[in-house]
Amino acid sequence: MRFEDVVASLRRAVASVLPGGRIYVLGATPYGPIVGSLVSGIGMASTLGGVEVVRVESTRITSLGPCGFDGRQR
Amino acid sequence: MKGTLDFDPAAHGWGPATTAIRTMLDDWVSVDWFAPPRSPPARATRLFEEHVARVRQVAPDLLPDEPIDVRVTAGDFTQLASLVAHVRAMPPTPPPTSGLTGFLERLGLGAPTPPPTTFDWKFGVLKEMLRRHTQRQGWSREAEARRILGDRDPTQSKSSDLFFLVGDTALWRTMPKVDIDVPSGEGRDAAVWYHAAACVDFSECIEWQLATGTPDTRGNPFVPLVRCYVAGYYPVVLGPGTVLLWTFAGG
Repeated sequence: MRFEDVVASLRRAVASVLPGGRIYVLGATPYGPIVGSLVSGIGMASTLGGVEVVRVESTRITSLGPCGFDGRQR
Repeated sequence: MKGTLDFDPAAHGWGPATTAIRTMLDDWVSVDWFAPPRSPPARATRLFEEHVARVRQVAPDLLPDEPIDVRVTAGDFTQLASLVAHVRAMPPTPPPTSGLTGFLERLGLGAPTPPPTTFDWKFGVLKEMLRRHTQRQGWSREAEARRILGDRDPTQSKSSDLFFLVGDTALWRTMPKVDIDVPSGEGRDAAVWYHAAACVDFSECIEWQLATGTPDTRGNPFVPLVRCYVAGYYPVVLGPGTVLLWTFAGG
């Protein structure tokens, strides 16, 4: 699954749970933006190995694990 | 603790609402986060009451019929942590789960999440009010992002574009950077969480104005809310009829 498809899925999921909900650019990796929740700091990032779920705190980025093709953590 | 933008709002335009957007961005970076207040409590109370009045004007069905009691309290970061913990524990926060599973469940990527059934200011009132407004105005983030970007390559967007396009999805990208300088512990966690939630209010304030498509902010319900932050007061909605405006007591 391409990163833009993951982002589109995330956007649809947020909108279905939170009417008017939105996702934010939380930071960037060398491979593209990190997108996710501004409040929790949890987002998704494109990496060499695929899409990963990450936590962004200030400038620190922690990987929480890879994201499968269905958008769920493996 | 003030935020900084990496562009000058005065040097950029965002269509018919430009002058209002510039003021909002200026307001945003003028907030001295978690510093002692710069205005008297009565002004903050008036601002929040004005916020409620504007919400009631456009979405009366989202508010309780009874008047909302607005009070000011000054305290330290332990008190802020306690208030934030109370708010975060309020329904419709999903049942306690932890880590990634809970996050994915809340996003609808895991187990289904039941719809909110109780009062929540941010999600039940403000987001729904904004959703209705943008729908009425025929506005979308994606269309706005494409309009701002024009024929430029979306991957080359700048902070001043406000939005970032990934494929056909528009994301908010403009967030003033703030280093929350509060001693580590519960108080810092609460301040970081509160600041992020307040930034959502700022972005919604700007979205409302972009959707309105004029520089006239008199009907924008988010403007007086944003000015509460500017004044140094941090609203904490404890229930349908009770709002505390927390401010840092100093020391």
